[in-house]
Amino acid sequence: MTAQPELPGGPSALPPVHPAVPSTPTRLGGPAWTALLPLAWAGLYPLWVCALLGGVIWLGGRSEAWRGGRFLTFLLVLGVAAALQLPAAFAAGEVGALAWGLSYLLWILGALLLHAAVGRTEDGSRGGALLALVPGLLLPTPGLLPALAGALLGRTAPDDRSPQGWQGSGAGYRHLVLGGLLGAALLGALLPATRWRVSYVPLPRAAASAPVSPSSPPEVMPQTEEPGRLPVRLTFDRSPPLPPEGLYFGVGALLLGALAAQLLRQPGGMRKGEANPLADYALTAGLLLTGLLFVLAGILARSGLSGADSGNPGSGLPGLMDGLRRALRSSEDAATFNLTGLVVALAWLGLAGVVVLGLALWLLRERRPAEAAGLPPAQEAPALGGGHESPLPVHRVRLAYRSAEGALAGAGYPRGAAETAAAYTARLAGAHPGLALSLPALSRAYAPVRYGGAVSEASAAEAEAAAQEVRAWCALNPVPPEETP
Amino acid sequence: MSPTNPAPAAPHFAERVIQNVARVLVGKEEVTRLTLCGLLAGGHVLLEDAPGTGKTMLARALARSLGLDFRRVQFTPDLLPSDVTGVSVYRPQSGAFEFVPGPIFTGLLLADEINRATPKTQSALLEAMGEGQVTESGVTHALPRPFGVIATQNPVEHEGTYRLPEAQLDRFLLKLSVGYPDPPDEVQMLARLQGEHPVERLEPVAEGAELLAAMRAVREVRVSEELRAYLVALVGATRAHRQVLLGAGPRASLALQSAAQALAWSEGRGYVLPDDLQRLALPVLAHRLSLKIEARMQGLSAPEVVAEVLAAQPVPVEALASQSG
Repeated sequence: MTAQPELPGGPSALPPVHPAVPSTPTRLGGPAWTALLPLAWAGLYPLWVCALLGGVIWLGGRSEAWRGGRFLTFLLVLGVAAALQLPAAFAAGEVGALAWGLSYLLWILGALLLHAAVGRTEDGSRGGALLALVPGLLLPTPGLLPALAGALLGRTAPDDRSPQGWQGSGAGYRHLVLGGLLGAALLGALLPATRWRVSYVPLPRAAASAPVSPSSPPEVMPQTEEPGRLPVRLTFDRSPPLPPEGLYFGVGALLLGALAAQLLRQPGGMRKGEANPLADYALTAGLLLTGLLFVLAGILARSGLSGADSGNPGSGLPGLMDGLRRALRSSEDAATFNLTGLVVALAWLGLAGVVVLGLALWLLRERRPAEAAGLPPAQEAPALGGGHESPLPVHRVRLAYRSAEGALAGAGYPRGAAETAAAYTARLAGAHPGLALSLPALSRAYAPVRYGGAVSEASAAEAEAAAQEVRAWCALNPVPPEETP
Repeated sequence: MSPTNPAPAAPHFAERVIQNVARVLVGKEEVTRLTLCGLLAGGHVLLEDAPGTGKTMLARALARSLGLDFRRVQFTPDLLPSDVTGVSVYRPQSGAFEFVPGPIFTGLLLADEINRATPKTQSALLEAMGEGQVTESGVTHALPRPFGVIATQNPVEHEGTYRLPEAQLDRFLLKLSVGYPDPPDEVQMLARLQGEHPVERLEPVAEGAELLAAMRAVREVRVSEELRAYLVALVGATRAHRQVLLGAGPRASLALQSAAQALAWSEGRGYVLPDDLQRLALPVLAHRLSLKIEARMQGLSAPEVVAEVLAAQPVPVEALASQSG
């Protein structure tokens, strides 16, 4: 019978089986520099909040539990910050209370974006940091500079992340985007610092069309006069994306979606031995606090636009209680409800419900094969035929192999669909002396990781170095495009 | 044994046996390894090749190297089932029938030119190969452990032969071809076999208990879910092939998995690679396929069908965005 192609050196060149290394790396992705990303939002968050958010990101780089509950921990930090500002907000009267509620919602949205930005950056997509940096340009502060540095230095995950973000995209594109971002950040840093600001100007019922003070920012929300409510004028520095009630419920629905996703992910996504009680308490506290603040924000949304007294109720806890009392009373005093807000809210809830349901189904579908197989962390769900990717982490050697194979394919040396890694290696290493050492070394480390064995840390590091050599070789040796007659 | 850490003696065991066999069968390490894998997987091996290529020598050398009892039965048209399995003989002294075990009660049975026996006699092996036992006169006798059958047949001569039925073929884990040696190997063989045949002096390098332990260890070799799916896809593709009348069955899937485990273990791995499956697909699957008559008329062979299937099935390596596999 015909012998199959083998690695150079024959069967004896197959990788020795080393004692298994812990499948859970001590360093989950190592992008410690991404902890600087919250500084991009220094225009929105107080500096100490940015520092705490950075700390949460840093913890997430070292513990699966903190990483899994990062968004909820963000909520805890923001909730504490918002709660601390609450007395002063009520002390400022209705304007302050409403500004507080809207600010809090913006904070939550910012946390969502920040969470997504950190996640994508850790997944190896440096472009993911744009989710934090670009909105930060709208509120430019010098904090953008360290945030940009964090995005640039936050190393792509070497071991346990999805590599989708850093495959196939050309380096030129990334450099262009990052260069433009750097320029914009520098420009933004030179501009005077501005803060997001909301002002709430109650108007007399009969004077709804009275001219606005020249110093007021331009009006962006049309005023309406409704029964049971004082005509008001909301002014923003920038246009609000949604009516306030819709915004409340929309953000609430998003939060519910995040919570549902988190609850669904926990059993399958959390590795054994990764339990972290402190993180669990922080997540629970974050959820509770966020829920309380949302209730409060809801009360304010309903009552803040009605005819509450705008007098100064005092500062501190008495002021807070007084303000709440007034808000609740005014809510009860409201003769009618604004059905428009309810319709908007229902629409948002319906949309969010569909999203949450889809997300839940997707997560359950992804989880089931891995659970049924009882696979260890380095052996995630099948990827036959380029199908769905597993939610479980990917081993660093597999990431290295993917990057090398992607680079080879991009350079014109693709692997055949029916070709094994060893056969592919033998074919290329035999034909290209430049790959004769690096590709077999990578393949030797890859096979046990992919199909059920284990490699030592040294072999994994060697595989990463080999992958880098392969990528460098690909950059120098692309297959020239065929000349067409 | 841990799935990721095969027994330390695994490569040494296999290499010892292969090197020992190589003392009499030059340049046939691959077929020796695969035959050994067939035995390690608890299966039986069918060797098909021209006369004089070393089929019998391989079986003898392997049995000697493994320290197994070895019996050879030359299958002929007049061979009776009881000549293989044994017969109950009436003992006047005791006034009772006494079972006299046939040559099948051994560690390794060489069924030489198996296709020369009648289907009835061939079928006598079915129970022994499938279940490791022989039933005679309503009494079941267990065969010794380990037990393996290495059968040979000549693909050229068809006069006076009886083609093995599908059920019998399916019992063979692997069907291998020894092949002619390369000229340098043949020269070396001449030098070695000039005097006394070295198989007579071949010393065992293992023993039956060691083989049994190895067989247990083989079953612990890890086969990942992706590879199982790949294996099933390969076997399923033989059933769906347009030129195939009868594809490989679930027994073939089991055979391919266990053979791949044995191959991985023999090479010192605690896990199976897709390369193992590809390397074994032909010897495991080809002899189990029945091609349609039009395919035979077109000259298509079962190995070609297996090759087509292998070329069409994507291997579970890494799913890149730019490719489907």
